Amino acid sequence: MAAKSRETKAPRKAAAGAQETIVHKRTPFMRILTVVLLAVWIVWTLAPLLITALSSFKTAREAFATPTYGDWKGVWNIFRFQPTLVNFRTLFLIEGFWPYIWHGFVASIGSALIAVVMGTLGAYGLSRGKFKREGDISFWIISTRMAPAVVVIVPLYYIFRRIGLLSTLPGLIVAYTTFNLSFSLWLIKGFFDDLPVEIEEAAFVDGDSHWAVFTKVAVPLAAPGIVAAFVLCVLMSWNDFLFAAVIGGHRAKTVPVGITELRTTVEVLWGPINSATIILIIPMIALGVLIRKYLIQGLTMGAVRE
Amino acid sequence: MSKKDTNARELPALHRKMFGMSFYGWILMPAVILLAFITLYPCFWMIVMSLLKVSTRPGMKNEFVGLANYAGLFKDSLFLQGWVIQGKYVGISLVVEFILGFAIALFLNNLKRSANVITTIVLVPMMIAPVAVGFLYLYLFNSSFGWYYWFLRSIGILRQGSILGDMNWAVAAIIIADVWEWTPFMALIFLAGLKKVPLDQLEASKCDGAPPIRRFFDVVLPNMVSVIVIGVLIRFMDIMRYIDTIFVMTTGGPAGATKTVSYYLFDVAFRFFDLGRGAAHGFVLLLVTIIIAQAFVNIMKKKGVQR
Repeated sequence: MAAKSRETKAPRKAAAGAQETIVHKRTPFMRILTVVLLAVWIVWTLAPLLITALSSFKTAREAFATPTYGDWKGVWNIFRFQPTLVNFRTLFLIEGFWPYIWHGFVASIGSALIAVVMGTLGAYGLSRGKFKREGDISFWIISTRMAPAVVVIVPLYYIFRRIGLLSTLPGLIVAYTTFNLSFSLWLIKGFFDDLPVEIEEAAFVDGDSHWAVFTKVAVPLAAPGIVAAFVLCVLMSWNDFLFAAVIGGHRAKTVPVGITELRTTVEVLWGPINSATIILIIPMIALGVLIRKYLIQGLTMGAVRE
Repeated sequence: MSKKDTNARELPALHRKMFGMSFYGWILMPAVILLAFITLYPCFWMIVMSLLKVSTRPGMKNEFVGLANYAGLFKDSLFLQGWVIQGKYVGISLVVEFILGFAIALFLNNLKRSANVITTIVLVPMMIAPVAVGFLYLYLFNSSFGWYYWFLRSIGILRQGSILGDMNWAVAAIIIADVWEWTPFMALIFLAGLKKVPLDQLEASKCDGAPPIRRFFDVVLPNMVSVIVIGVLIRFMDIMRYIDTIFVMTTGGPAGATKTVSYYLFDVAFRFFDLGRGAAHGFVLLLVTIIIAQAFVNIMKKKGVQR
């Protein structure tokens, strides 16, 4: 499937280059404008990350060294510092951040696994099967993903309090599954829909069972989609704050919750906050770049493809 | 219902029933059951809870209060004001993200080889936890050592005071954070849409001598209606969901200037621990989200048919 789309895209791109792009003519002025505006956009995108990343290796005195207003040369203060690991040391040794990372890791991987396994099974069933009320089932699944999390969380908190899942890792995993399962099911279904049924029929006629056709033919062919769904589930769970704060409580704190606790009413520990922010975002950026190709398809649940 | 067309070629044996259901039915079951338990069951409880005065401690009896929670909501000025603030926050963010996203998509579409590298750089903010985005901007907007605050003071836009302590600037600040994080999403979706605009139509309109602006409105936009609907819809749903950046940057302040309805729900349910009221609040929020989303889809569909 991927190969096919690449084939159709290539000549199209060539044609675009030969004729013109959609709105603008290729004049020198447009070229310069494009370069300048995109450069501004890249600076705007990366500046907050760069400043925070550098600050996480600075002492407080260096991190707070903004020059007087209007002193433009003072911008170099951002880059003037002696790198130190003191903030990371405070974060792990004094604030005890390891458990938070571990909780976030377990909860997001656990929930992503449940969501992807059940999602793959369900997606295949929904994609290939014939059901009486297929439209209703589909609508229900997609609508659960759309409900605001703040809304789900109130009854979930109440139910979990009654059955004792509050403040536990399993509780957090179940809570994450509320948004991960419908998401992964729908996304993976799109990948199964793209596979030609004939391959599976051929395998079936050759004597494989339903299950063998599913595991040996369909799943390997849809593997990129399944991986993308898994990665996106991990990403959404790891980044989540609301569920972790409410359901995770004191005993299943994750990194986002841990960071907010570095800001107390007495003082704001900016050094550790900056280093914790870096720890929180770096792995997710890496994962995002890894599945770059499926990112838009994933985030729109298969509605838009690149 | 395009599925019906392909069914003709399928093998009937594939859909043979085993214990009353086809293989496909059986493997769909676990997901459906789990999903029902974690979404339908809470949804049912939300409606029940909204009619109760839920006790703050587990084990104590809940009191049935009828529609009092709903009545209370509409007498609550913070709730009503929250809608105005949410409207401002959502409306301005969406418009800015839409325009910037479209512009960036058009420029990215102009590039050939470097486009891939640049899109990869540009999409980085989307991966970042909203909490982290909140802290990035809390740091940059700090009035004693924030670099963006320093920049705004240096170019003279800001005379005095602080950003997050000012009622108007605080709203602008949370909008800026949202725009920073999610404009790339819009841009990438629109870029995908632009790539699918049929070039023969563009050429035809060019041969007819249509100026670029006309070409944009007559050929490009109509072809992108579905992409625009999806992009705006997903952004709308998500911006209603997340309160993380607000929680970090302003905690609803100053003086409630950034207390959106979604954020206020968090306050009611988990700070004042009035779960019954929170459930009623959540139910209203859910209904409004669904109605607005549905209305938007209907309007865009009608426009799409008219062209």
